[in-house]
Amino acid sequence: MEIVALMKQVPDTETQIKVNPQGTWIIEDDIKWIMNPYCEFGVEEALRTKEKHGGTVTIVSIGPARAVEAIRTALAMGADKAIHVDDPALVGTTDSLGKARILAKILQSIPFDIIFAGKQAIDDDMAQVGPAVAELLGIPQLTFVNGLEWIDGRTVRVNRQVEGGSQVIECSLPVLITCQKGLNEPRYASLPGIMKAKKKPLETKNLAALGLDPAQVGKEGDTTEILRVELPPPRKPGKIVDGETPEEKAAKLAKLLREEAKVI
Amino acid sequence: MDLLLSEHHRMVRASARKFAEAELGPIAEEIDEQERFPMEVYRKAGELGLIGSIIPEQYGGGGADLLTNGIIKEEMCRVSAGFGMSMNICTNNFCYFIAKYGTESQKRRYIPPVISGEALGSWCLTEPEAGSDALAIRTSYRVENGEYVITGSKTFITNAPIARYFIVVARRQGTKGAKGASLFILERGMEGLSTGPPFRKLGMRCSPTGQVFLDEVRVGPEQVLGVEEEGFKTMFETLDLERILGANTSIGIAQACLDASVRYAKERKQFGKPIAEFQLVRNMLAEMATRLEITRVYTYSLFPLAERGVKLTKEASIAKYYASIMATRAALDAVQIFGGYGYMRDYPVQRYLRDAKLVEIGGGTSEIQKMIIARELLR
Repeated sequence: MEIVALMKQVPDTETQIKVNPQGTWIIEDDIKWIMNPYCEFGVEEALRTKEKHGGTVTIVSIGPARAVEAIRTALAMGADKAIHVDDPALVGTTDSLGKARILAKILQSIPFDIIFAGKQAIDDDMAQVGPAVAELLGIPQLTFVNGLEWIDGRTVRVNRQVEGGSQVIECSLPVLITCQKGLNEPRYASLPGIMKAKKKPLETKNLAALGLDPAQVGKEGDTTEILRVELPPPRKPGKIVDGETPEEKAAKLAKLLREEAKVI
Repeated sequence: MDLLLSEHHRMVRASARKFAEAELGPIAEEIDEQERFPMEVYRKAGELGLIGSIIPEQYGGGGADLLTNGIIKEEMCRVSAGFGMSMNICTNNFCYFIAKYGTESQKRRYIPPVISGEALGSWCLTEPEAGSDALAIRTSYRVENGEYVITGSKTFITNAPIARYFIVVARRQGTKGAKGASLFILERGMEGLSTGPPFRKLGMRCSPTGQVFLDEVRVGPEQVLGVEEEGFKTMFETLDLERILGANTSIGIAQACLDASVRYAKERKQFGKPIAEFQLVRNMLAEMATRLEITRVYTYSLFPLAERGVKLTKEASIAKYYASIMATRAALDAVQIFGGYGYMRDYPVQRYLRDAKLVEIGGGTSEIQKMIIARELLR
């Protein structure tokens, strides 16, 4: 089976984010980068699919040179090969559609039966790339998947998280699946895996090599623009209800809940 | 700092850290309190190839360079120094030693069960009357009809209470000084070999330490490790690496101290502001980070040299000695920054302090390291 995992490198969740002086993006220097945790669920599911049905797992990722580290981590986890797209024209791009076009272009040139992607990247939280890739390829998409089982070698049954419950869908291949927490527990990159990853094929391509026009998928082709990026406002300090007796405190609290918080 | 490392070493650190935080992190206090070695985590470390990183691939290892093991040890020690120490005895003192000096059949028999995380090894040199003065060992053997009969006792042996295998240093009866010692690989279950109960220690409490008793243990020549009667020479050849790795224990503990202190100093408020805004606290953080980072760079720089077989007697002692006082200082300051909470057993910083102290003693005391440094200077 030909299995593809789309993967994005993002700032570590523990990194302290600082906004650039122009207020248009974050300062990327001195940041620790990791594999997007939702993409990691996708990589893990791709590896489990390979363990069940055989085949190869290909990682596809767009990003600057630093993204290679996250790609190597996916190879160290057990993926077979990787395609990395890096082009100066992509620096500062904001459109999810452009990224999806690049990924779709690659996927049109390689065989695939099933594609895994994160449900969203934890940096810009767009949650658009996976679905857009499926649309561009004209294949079904199953999003926010937190459970997956195989009915046979060509059919999956997935569990989707939906408002107030879950939805179960069966679908035949080919399909694109975006992965949600709960789908699996990603494995660690093992030491032999890390050693082997160095020798696995990792191809870096620019837009020209893919036959893509920077005016369409690059910065200049962006149809959206980020106007402002700001940190969440600091949390307002809490209010301590004082009073002589528990009764007095409770009465004050009830009053506040009714008149100020308006919750009762 | 990590940017100085290769992509390979950064990946090793990321993976080892993730493993240590997820598998050891939640139980680190509990295994210290209960003085329990977490065999289940050790097995998982084996499955991930963390124990045998530097062992050649043909014996099931990872075939990585020595710095890889240094980083792995450091990351384990950052979360649980006792675990890191026990694991490293298996990696370095047992498996790497056998990979370097053992016969083909010894390598095939003893390395795989240890690096897979199934069994622990131990390294038995210290005796009640022979600590820093290693040549004073009294455990001895005699040769009888081609067999070796070993008698004596060993103490302060890491992993002894639970180890399956023991590398024992014993002296041929009637010999003295630097000549005459041989190394034997012994197994639990051999007649005459027994171990004592785990010692009750100040720190490193999840790492079981104890005695090994040898009462006429009779083995064939296939159990002799390395050149007969050249045991001390073989052992001294490996001391540099052992001391450099000793520094990694300290670096791991000091990193834990720094991480905890920075986090706490930003959270803890006194006089209406985080204590990180007070200059005296900042001073402690700055001192801690400075000493830690310089120690780390110095220590890491020794691994490629050790790999090439460069003699590093003075440098290894400098690394081990300085790293150990750097770590106890970091741990004392971390406890100070945490104040009253730092003294409570509910918080891990007191454990860092208890664990750090050992590194000034085990694997050659600070006093011995300084003697070596001075001796090398005055040569």
